[in-house]
Amino acid sequence: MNRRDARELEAFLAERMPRLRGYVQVMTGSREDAEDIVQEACVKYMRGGPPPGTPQAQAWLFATCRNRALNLARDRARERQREQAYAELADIHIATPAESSDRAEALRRIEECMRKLPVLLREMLYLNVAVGLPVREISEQTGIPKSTVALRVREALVLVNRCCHRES
Amino acid sequence: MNMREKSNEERAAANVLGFDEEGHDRPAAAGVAPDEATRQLEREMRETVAALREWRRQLEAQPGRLPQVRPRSSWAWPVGIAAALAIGFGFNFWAMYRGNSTAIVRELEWTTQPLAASENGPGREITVHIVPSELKSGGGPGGLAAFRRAGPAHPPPGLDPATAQDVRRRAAFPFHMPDRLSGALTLRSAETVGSNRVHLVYVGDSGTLAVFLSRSPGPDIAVRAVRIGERTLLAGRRHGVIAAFDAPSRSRPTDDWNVLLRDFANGDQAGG
Repeated sequence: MNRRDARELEAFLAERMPRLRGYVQVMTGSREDAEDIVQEACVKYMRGGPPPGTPQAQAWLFATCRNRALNLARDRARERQREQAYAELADIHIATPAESSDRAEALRRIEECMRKLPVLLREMLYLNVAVGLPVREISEQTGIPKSTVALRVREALVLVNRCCHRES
Repeated sequence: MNMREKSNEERAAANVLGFDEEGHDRPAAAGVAPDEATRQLEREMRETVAALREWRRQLEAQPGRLPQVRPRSSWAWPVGIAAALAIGFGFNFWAMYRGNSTAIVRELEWTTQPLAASENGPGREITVHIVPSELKSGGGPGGLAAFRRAGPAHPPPGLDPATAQDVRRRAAFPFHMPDRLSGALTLRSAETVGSNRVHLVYVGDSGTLAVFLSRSPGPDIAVRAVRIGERTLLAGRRHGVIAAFDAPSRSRPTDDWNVLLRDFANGDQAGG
């Protein structure tokens, strides 16, 4: 790799990394884990990934990070606790609307509610609503059927909304 | 939660997301007209969506490490390959040298006994401080003009021809047995140890040089120092014959000793 290739690669990764890092953080619930996973994927990519700047390169990075994040999320025992929290969340019925005008408080709240979601629902909601990827594109990149993606996004939005606005 | 609330939530979510449960785009006006509860839910969900987008921007704005991309210099590969080759050759050479030395030591184990006898016997020999470059620097085989000039006027008597002939007959391998080395050392004794080993003793004014010859098929090996028991010999192999010299401990294996090796092992059955 010459200097020009190195610069091109560096620019490509620098552009992609914030989005990947944010996505992986949402998946794993940990900034440190996200940092590690994205770094690991980048190093793996530098050793032999598709040419930078191509759609294949983006898909490669996304798939690598996603697989790693999913494995990590599955491996962790605390994920089991989150699943339990999700089960409890479904039964919450508190009709008191809790609107917060405080922006920081709203962000803290959304983060907390996202953490309570199972990883597969959290992932779909983040990719579709927060990142803005269309259902079709998520389906192509993850290999999950379009209808499953749509259902998960909708279910996740309902649950997060319930958590944000009705949970005390 | 009752069914109506759930239905309202789903409807509100579909309106906010803009697609139905199959993932198909859903016009904003699709479905039944929303009631007040659904509109309220939609407002909440839009707030949630806005908060999610804001949260995402915050996540992506956090500083993170960038992987270090190091361009590989154009000379890195050739230098790396050269270094690997050098290490490989060095290791091979070392292994070959060590293997050769081991082979010589094994072939010369029989000299332990004569060496011990020469050290401990009643007529203890004093190893001559031989300077090989002087040995070879003049005259024919074993001749040395300068040494001759400075050497004794009457060299000591050599081995009697009958004994020399007997040793050559008993030994079953080709070697040379010069009567004199450098005009200063005279062959004093010769004996065979089995049919493949010969022990020669050369005597001069200043001491004795013991030479051990062994039949040892294999590639030629330049003279090197080998440790036999407590003693250090200078030994090499040529034309299937190992010649070992009981040299002073300060001697170094040099080309001069290789010349001396040729005097004893030059490939034919000449008598010397």
